Amino acid sequence: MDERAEPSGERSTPSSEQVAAQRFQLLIESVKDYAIFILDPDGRVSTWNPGAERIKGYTAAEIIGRHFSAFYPPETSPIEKCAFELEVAALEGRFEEEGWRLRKDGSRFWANVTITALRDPSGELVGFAKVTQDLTARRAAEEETRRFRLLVESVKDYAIFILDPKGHVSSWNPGAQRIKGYSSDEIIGRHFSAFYPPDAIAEGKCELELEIAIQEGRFEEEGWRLRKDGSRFWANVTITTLRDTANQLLGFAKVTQDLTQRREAEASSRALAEQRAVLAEKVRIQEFQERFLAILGHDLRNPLASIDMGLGILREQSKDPAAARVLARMQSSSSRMTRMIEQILDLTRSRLAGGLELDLRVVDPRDSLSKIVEELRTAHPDRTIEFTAPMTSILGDPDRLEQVFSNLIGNAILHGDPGHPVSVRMQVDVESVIVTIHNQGPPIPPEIQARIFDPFRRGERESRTARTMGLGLGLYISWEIVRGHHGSIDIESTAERGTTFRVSLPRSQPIRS
Amino acid sequence: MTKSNQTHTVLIVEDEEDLRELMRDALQLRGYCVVTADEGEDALRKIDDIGAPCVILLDLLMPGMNGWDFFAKVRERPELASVPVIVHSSASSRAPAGVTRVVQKPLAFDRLVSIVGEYCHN
Repeated sequence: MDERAEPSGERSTPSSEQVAAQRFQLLIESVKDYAIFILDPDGRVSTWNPGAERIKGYTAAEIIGRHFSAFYPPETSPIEKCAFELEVAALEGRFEEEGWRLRKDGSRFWANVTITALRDPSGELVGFAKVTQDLTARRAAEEETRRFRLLVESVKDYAIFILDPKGHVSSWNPGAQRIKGYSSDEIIGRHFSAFYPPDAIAEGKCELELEIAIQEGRFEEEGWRLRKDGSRFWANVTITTLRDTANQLLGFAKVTQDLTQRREAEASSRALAEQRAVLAEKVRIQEFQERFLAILGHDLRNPLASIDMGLGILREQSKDPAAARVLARMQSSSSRMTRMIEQILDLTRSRLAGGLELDLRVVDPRDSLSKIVEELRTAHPDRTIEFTAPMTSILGDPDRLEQVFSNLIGNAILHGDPGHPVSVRMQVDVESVIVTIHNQGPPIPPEIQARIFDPFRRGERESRTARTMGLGLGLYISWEIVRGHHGSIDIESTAERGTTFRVSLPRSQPIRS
Repeated sequence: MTKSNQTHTVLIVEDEEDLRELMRDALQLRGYCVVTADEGEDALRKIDDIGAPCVILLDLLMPGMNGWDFFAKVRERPELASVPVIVHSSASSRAPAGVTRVVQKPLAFDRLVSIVGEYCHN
């Protein structure tokens, strides 16, 4: 300025104008964030402030007197551009723009530039005031914001949107539209509870999520959310609080991902793994059962076969009556053990291995019955067994039917009144063959009748049956055999009429798979 | 002819030693000539030595060559085609088709000698 050029050697009291000018000069000198300097009418730098030095890198000595085109990048045609700017400023009083400028070191900065024409009171152009602000950081931030917006706008796989502090939707992206089904017009301004199932809303889930986000800065979960059409999707949800530099809550950024397909894939692979585990367990159990059956059927029976054989040889050779009695006892025990193993084997097969194996063929049950009746008549010559049966045929396993009849008729002899005959009758009607086995004698108490076909019936361990016949499995196995033939066994037992077991076997039956 | 008289030689194929030796004792007691083997391969070698027995008592579940494979080999050989094979097993329900007879273990002394008696002269 002209005032600065004047010698100031005289120490006189400064005028109020001079004071104001000094203060203004101080202000200019202290400003660091703006380059504030004066160009002469031709565009040469005539003053320089610390802000200018800081922003542009030149010291006053380096730049004063140089044309301000030094601040313009070469591609802007600096001379012409500077001339244009000064012309505009001179004509309109002011020129303003944002654009790239050069620092002394050649680096660029994004500048807000204002050039103001300075005129004396007569209107004569005396120069230009130039104020330059470095907006590089702001521009970078704006650019970043712009890019980020672009990114958010282009993301389709995530719903990315903003909630205001109360939880109302204030922005919406295409991903949100795709996942949730709402257009931005439909959802902006609405509360984000629109995305939650009613039960979650009732539980206060939305408020809780915002509360957690406020407390911890962030809330994340996976859970069910609703689409506009009411359908559910499995969502991964992140809610992040947005705060300004003063830590004031601005709202929440919400990012939601639709994981329904992933969840379904996981569920199906989990189901597959479970099925495999179940199958492996079944195989393991099956192997165990087979091993168990092998032990019962083979490993236990072989030593018994040896004992039986040995007893037979000794009986053959021994002439001593006392030894013969001992051997007979041993033989009886061995036979009982054999029967018990057979029963356990049958129980195991029926309970574990999917049922008793039946070798079904067309048979006349009368043959099985008469064979057993003859055997028992021989074994119990003091007892009378009445037997009547017509010829017929059924599909049956003759060995297994013999087992049933032997058990039932044997029981009748064992428990029946020795003074009365045991009666075995077979009747044939259109659909079934009915075998009734009857004995007189004390009735079976009703509470025992109710569970007489259960295996290992409690309360009978001390009975004669248990001691003589084995394990209390005979009726259970008989029942299983008859059931395998698609038949049934009934029992009727009273003091007056005695005890009757009634076996019903269908004459035609579906072939067991 | 160095081979034993096949009309009263019984071949027992049984892996359980106690049972095998007691069966041998039982049958020898009744005057039979008894040859034993603990599995199928051994039994085939014994047959090569003695010629066709009058009856074969055959266990099924054995280590080495089992009863099913042994029976198949026996039936492949014409000179053994008519030899009765009695399966004596705890797995009697799984006896191969074509065997002469199936008896369930355990077989008592009396029944063993009576069954063998149906096929062999002692």
